[in-house]
Amino acid sequence: MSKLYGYGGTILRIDLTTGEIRKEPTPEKLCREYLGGRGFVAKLEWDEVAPGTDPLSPGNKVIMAPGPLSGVLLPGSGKCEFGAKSPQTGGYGDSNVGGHLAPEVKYAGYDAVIIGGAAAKPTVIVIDDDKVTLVDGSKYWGKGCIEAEAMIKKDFGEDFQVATIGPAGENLVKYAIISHDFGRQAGRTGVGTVLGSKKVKAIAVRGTKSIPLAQPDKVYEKAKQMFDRCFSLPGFKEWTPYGTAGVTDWVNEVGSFPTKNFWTGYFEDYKKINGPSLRERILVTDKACFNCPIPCGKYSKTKTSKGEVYVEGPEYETIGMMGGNLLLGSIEEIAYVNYVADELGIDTISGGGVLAFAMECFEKGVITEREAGRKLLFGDLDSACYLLEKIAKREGIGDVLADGVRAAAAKLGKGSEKYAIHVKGLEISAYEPRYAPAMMLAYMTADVGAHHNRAWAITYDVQVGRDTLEGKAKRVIELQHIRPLFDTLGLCRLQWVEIGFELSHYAELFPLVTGINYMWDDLLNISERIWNLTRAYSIREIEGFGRDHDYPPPRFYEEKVPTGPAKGKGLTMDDLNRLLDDYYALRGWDSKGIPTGRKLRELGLDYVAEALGR
Amino acid sequence: MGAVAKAVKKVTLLVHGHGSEFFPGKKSRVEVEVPAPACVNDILDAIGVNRSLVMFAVSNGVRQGKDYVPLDGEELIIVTPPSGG
Amino acid sequence: MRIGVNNDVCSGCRVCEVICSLRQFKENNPKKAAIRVKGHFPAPGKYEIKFCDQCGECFNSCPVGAIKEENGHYRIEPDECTGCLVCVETCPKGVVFTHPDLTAPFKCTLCGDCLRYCPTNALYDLDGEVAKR
Repeated sequence: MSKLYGYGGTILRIDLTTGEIRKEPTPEKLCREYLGGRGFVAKLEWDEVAPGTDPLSPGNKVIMAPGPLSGVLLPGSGKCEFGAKSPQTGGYGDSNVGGHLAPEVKYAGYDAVIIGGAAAKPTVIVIDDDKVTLVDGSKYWGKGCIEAEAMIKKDFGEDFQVATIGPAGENLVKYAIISHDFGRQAGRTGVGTVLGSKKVKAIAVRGTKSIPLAQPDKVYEKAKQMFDRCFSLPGFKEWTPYGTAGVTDWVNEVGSFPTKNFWTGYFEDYKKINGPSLRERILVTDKACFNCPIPCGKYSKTKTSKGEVYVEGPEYETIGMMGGNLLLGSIEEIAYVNYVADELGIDTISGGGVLAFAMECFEKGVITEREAGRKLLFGDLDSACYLLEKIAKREGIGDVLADGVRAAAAKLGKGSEKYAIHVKGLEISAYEPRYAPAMMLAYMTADVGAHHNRAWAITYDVQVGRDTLEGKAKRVIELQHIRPLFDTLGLCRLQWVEIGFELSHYAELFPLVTGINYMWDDLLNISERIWNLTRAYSIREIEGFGRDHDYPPPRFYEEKVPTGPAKGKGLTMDDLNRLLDDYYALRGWDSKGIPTGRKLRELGLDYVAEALGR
Repeated sequence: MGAVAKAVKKVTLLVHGHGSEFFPGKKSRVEVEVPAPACVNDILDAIGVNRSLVMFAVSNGVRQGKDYVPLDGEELIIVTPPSGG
Repeated sequence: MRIGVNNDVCSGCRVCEVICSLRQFKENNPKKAAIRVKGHFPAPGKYEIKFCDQCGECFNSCPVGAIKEENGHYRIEPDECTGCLVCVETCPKGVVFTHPDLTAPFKCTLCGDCLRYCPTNALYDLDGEVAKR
C-alpha cells in the first residue's frame, strides 16, 4: 500500500467497557471513498453501530474525525467532526467544532477516534501522541464545560487541546454539546449526550508529529497564495469585525429572523443585538480557530443583573435563537444566556428552541406556573436562566424539556405540538423560512434534522424570487454537496461562504497535500455518496422513515408570517409537496424519499442498496 | 460642450461575499456605467441584482446605506449577506 | 527587518506557527515552530505571542560556538551542536525550542514569513521593510 499523505495514518479504537485500546492503520480505501471527517463518521456509524442500537446504550459510538486537510497550512483548517447515532432524532447524527482540536488529533497521528462501550466511572480520555490512557475524571464531573477545560489544561498541560461535556451531557439532556477551546462547540444532534452516556467527561489530545505532505514545497507556495487571496478580497476587513453577528440586520430586513418561537420573522429590537452592538459594547478580543484569517469568534465580557462573565459569542445563531426567539433585546443579556448554556453544556440552537417552546406553552396555558415553578416569560433573562438550570439538572419541568421539543410536546399534549418547531426531532436553527422556499426545503431535507449548516439558501431565494418554487430544489442539492464537503475535508467553509474565497483553491491544494489526483467534481461526487449514506442510515434506523419525516412543523404551513417585511407570506402544503417532489426527483430518490437502488449503486453504495433491499 | 456627456458616471463595484455569484458574470469586480445621480439601489436595479441581496456599501472605508450616491470613478465595496454560520 | 508584536490584535490563529515549520523544516508541524501563540482563557481572554527578538543570549551562552550570528539573527548549527541545551535554559523569553525528532534545539532565523502572513498584523516589521496590510 502506498503511503497516505495528508492523513495521520492511524485509527484509534477505545472500548470504555473493557478499557481496551487498539490502533489500526487507516485503510487507503476508506480515504479514497470517504475522504475523512464527516465521511469517516458516516461510514463508521453505518458499519460499526449495530442496527437498532439505543443511542444512549454502550453500543452506540462517538466518532471523532479530523479531515485530510485539517491541521495543514491553509485558511480555516481547524474543523473536527463528531458523530454518533443521534439521541435527538434516532437517526444519523454529527456535529462539527472549530478551535484547535482537529489539528492536534492529526499531529498525534489519528484520522479517527472511535469511542465505544461505557465507562463505570467518570473518565478523561488522554491521547498524548502514541500513548493513550483512560484517567479517572471524577474531580471534573459536575463542573461546567469551560471550568473543566481550564482544570484539565492545568492538570495535564497547557499544550493539550481539550474537549469537554457539561452537566447537561452528564445528565443526558438530549441536546448536550461537546465544548472546546473555551467557547467553541460541536453543538448539534446530541453528540455530547452520547459522550455523557459513556461517562466521558473530556478528551485531551496532544501531538508532536508532522502531517506528511505529498508535495511540501508546493503546499507551502499554494498556501501562501491562498492567504494572500483572502487578504486581498474586498470584504476581508469588512466582514471580520462583526463575524456571523454581522448578518443580524439583514435577516430582519428580509423578514427571516426567528422571533417569539418562530411566531414571526422580524424583531423590532434587532439593532440592539446586532454585530455593531456586540463589537462596541462587549467585545474583548477576536478569537480565531486554527489558521483562520477572518476570525468570526468574538470573545466577550458581559455584565447583567445576574453578574459579569466571559463568553465566546454570541454568534448569529445564538442571537437568533436566544435573542429574537426569546424576545431578549439586549446583547448583554443574550451573551449572558449564551454563557449559562455554554457552561451547562446545552446547544444554544436547540436550547433556544426549547426555551421558546416552554415560554409559548406557558403563555398558552399548556404549562402552568405551578408545574414550572415560576412564570416563564418571553423577554425575561431570569426565566431563560432558570429553565437552562432546570433542564441541565433534569429537575421538574426541566426533565420534560431536556428531551427536546418533539418529545416534550408529545408528553405535554394539549395542542403543544403546534409550538414544537423542529424537523425530525432537531430544533430549527435561526432562519424563519416561510418566505424563503429554498431555505424551507433546506431545513426539511437536512440529513440530521433542521440545520442551516447543510444548505443556506436565503440569498438564492432573494435573488431568483421568494415567491417562486422553481429551481429551488436544484440549488439546495448543490449546497448540500458543497457545504458538507468542508466538514469532510476537515475545513471551515466560512472563507468561502463569508468572504467569497474561491472553491477552486481547495481543489488545487487537495492533490498537493494528499497525492490523490481528485478534481473538484470527484470531491463533490463523494459528498453526494455521503449524503445518500446518511439518508440511508436514518432509513435503516427509524421505522417508516421517509417523506413524512421531511415536513416542517405546522406553524410553517398553517400560519402566515404575521408581522415585518414578510408579513402575509407563507407556504402551503401543496408548495411543500412540490418542493419535495422536485427534490426527490433530482436526487434519484422515489416519491417516498428513499434512494433508488440504481442511485445507490451509481454512487458505489452497493452494500447500502443490499441492506435496504433496494 | 461636455454638458451632455456628464449624464453618465463610471462606478466600480467590488462585491464582497459569495453573493457575488448573483452579479453579472459571477464576478467580484463589476464596472458599471449609470446615469449620474444613481444611488447604490439604482445601480443594483441597472445590473439586475435584487436590492435585498446587498446589506450595505463601503466607500473609502466608511459604511454607507444603499441610498448612497457614489461619485464618478469611485470604487465601492458592496457587501452581500454572509450566512451567519 | 525586526519582529514587532502587538498582542492586543492577535486572534490566536497560529498561522505564524505552521508557516514557520513549513519554511524552516519543510514540515507541517507547529511543534517545530520557532514562534508560539499562548492563549489566556477563560480570563482575561488575551493572546500572547512568544517570539525571538534576537537578543543574543543563546549565542553568548553556547559553550561550543554552535550558534552563529548572521544578518541580524542567530542560527543554531545542528552539526556543531552537542545538545547540551544550555541555550534553551538561558533564553530569557523561552523561545529556543526542542522537539523529540531533533537532537539540536532550534530558533527563529528571522525569515519574516510569520509577519508577512499574520492576518491581523499582530506580527509586523519594526523597521517597516515589510509593509503592513
